[in-house]
Amino acid sequence: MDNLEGESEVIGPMERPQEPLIYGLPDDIALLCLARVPREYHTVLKFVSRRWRDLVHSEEWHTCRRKHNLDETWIYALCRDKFEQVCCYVLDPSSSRRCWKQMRELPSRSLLRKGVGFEVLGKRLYLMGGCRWSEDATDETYCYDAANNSWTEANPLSTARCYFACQVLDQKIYAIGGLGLNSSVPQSWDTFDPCTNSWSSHSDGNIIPEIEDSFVLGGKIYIRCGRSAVTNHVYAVVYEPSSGTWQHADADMISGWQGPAVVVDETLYVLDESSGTRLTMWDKDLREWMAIGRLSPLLTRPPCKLVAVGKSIYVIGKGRSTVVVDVSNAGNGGGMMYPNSRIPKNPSSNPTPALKRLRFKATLAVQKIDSGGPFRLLQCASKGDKAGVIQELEKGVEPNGADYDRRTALHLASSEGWTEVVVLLLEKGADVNSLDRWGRTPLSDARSFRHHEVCKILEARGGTDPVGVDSQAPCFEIDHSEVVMDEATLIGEGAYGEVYLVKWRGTEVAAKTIRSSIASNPKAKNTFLKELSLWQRLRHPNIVQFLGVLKHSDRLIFLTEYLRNGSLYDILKKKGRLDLQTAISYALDIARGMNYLHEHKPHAIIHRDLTPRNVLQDEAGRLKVTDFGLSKLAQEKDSYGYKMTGGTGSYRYMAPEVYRRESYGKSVDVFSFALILHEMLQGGPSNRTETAEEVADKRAYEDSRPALSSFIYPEPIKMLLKECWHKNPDCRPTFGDIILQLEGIEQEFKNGRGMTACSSCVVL
Amino acid sequence: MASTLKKIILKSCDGKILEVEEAVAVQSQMIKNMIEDDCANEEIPLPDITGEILSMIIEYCKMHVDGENNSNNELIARDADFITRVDLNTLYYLIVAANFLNVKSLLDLTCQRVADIIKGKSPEEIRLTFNIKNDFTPEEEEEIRKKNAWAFDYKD
Repeated sequence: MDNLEGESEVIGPMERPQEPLIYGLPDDIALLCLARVPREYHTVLKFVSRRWRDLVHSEEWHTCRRKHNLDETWIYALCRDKFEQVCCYVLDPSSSRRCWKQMRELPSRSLLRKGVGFEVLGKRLYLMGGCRWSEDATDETYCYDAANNSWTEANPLSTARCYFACQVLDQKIYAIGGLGLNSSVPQSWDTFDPCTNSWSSHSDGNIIPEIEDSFVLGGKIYIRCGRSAVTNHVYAVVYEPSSGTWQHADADMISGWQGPAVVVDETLYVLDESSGTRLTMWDKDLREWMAIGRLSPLLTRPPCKLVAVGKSIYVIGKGRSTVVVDVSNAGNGGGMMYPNSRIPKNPSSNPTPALKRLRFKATLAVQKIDSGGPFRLLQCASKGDKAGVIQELEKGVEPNGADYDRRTALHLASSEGWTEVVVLLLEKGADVNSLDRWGRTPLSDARSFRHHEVCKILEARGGTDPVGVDSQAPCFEIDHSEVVMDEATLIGEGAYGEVYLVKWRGTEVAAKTIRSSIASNPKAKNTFLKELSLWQRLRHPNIVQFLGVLKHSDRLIFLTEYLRNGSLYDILKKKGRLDLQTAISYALDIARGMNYLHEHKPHAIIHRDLTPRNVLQDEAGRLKVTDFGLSKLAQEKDSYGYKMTGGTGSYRYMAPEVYRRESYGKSVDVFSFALILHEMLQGGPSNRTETAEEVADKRAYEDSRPALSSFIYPEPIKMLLKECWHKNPDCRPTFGDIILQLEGIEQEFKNGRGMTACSSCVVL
Repeated sequence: MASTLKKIILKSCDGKILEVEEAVAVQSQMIKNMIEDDCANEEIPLPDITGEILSMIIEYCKMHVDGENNSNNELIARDADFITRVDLNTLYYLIVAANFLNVKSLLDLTCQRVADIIKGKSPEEIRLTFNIKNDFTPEEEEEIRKKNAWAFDYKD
């Protein structure tokens, strides 16, 4: 791809019959006509004839279009795909079907590089420098000619660099700072003059390291370094072309540079992403930052890049989610801002059925766990995802497929009161009276949860309820004679007691014992039994099924399903770091189970002790959350002098507010979840040398968090982790949000499209 | 010196004589220049413009003079109506004449019309419409196709 010679076809000069461009028109007038064809059709023009092709490639063509104000601006966004390869997308803002299109044929050598510079000068796009895991910073520069649609190697940078800032000032490219082969690189910059087609190097000790953002305003280049997470202080310097030096920038103006910046009509706009997404503007005259409005998080996903076309700001977020804000009439005040338009990230995001099916094929190919079984059908049925249910049934999944507890999709939909899904399943032949492990029918469930409408539907279809809604017998009580504890095998130990493998009614199940120190306390025991009566109603593919409580003379024992594959802790210990695909799929399992608990009505069930040891794997490879709410028991005992030892490693996953013994809510589980996800990608806990308690202490009092190396964590995962372990519990997302984000990330991976945030964005 | 009632006499290449009000005639920058240079007192010969084309252009100019008080949208609608009635050959003559007479708005309108005809057509359809020979070798065609595959939008 590197030797594309845009000129090769122009060289053959021997035949010059000079056919007119259009028969019947002089060429100069034909040019006037053709120049009016919008840019999106130029590729088609190139196919018509040699003369047309040469015309579109020519300088004359561009001059003519510019002269008649016909030139159109396209947006080019540099992203990274699932293989962490560089990819470039292009958007034609004026096209009727506005959507991002992926450019092909990028120079192969720059594909794997990171920290590549990206800038437009004249009618060419430049890709400069960068580095790789296995390669030092490079000076290689490539140039893309939009008319020829071809890349060529251009004159290299004077200095090999990566992660630098790029701007154009006075028709020259500035490649500023960043990292390079020696320590002087961060304090140097190179400029490219297209007239001489050469680079020259300069240096100034004032250039700041780790440049995060840059813009040109009033004929000066401003650069800002990464903000310190602690102080939120913005540090920026400005280049004065008159003196050729870098100086401190206007502190008032810079104070509001809290996110990506863009300049429209010599006015500076910044997207503040620190809490929500807020567009702000620097008022030069008042010398104040003004809020223009908030962007709904549903429309664009930070981190975003900004780019201006005319008077519109294009906000390009994760997965190329794009919204357009026209700042010529943007509302003032701090209210919600309604973007003027929204651009789908690719054509297939229009959810037409055909495309959806196509996507699903991709899902099948990658996630083997899904194939065949009713897993996803059950999942969709319990979520009330009607479209998902339809998709699964169309795929040929048996409507009566059941899980371990013989719970069918109809059971799940009935428990949750998803009327439409119930109707749909019945239409598709679901058995209205299928019995689950406890002899309950879908109607039993609908009645227990008082979903009257669902009850009516089921009754109309001949549904019966053998259990009877008012049968007060606590069906979760199991006679102790049914389980022979003496033959039990010890398989684990938790903070609250031991876990044994036992046989119950011919099935291997886990028997969890509660320490007599807890069980002998009547108050604690009472609380616990109440908790258990709650658990017996919980059913979800991603939580370990509670089966019943054993009435025993001296001990408190309860049974759950037994998962022979062990815990996530065992998996990580054995396998080490998981690949991204598996980690995301596991994270989704955990998040779905946790979301079910958090969304429980009337009260959310908080796990309080979500750790890799409390996440088990079933034989199908799916993860299930267990032991939720048990630490409440320990807490109950706390006042009696019981102290959590932290021996199970719980401290490592403990939210700071819990460690500080402050009040807390559901989001403590989100915090723990983040550390588990981090651990899956890392292969083990971070700070292994420190004790769990030391780690928790630092997290609670020093805001310490695990490091996020860019080589392991793709940008969207990084963002997710940062949100989830946010020190402010209110800033953490819910598991519902997390599922959406993870599904988005997973989809992007499967589609093979760039899923990370756009790293640079230019117009040409 | 020019009164609104003054008439300008135009003569087409096929000998047709057309009398036009000055206000209409000055839509043509060329004729306006001639009037200003005082060269428009006799009939103005237009060597490359037929009577048919000339009367169309005068119709167009009249429409714009009469429509000065109309809304912009109305004028655009009339322009569209005017231009879509015209076949491709006539369109070429109009373009050449509009260029010669320097009627800016008509030149824009006619050139845009050609562009609009091209828009959305496949290369083959464009060739057929404009009677252009495909002078690419199959290899060359393949080469462009390969190079531009991602940017290539029309459906075969």
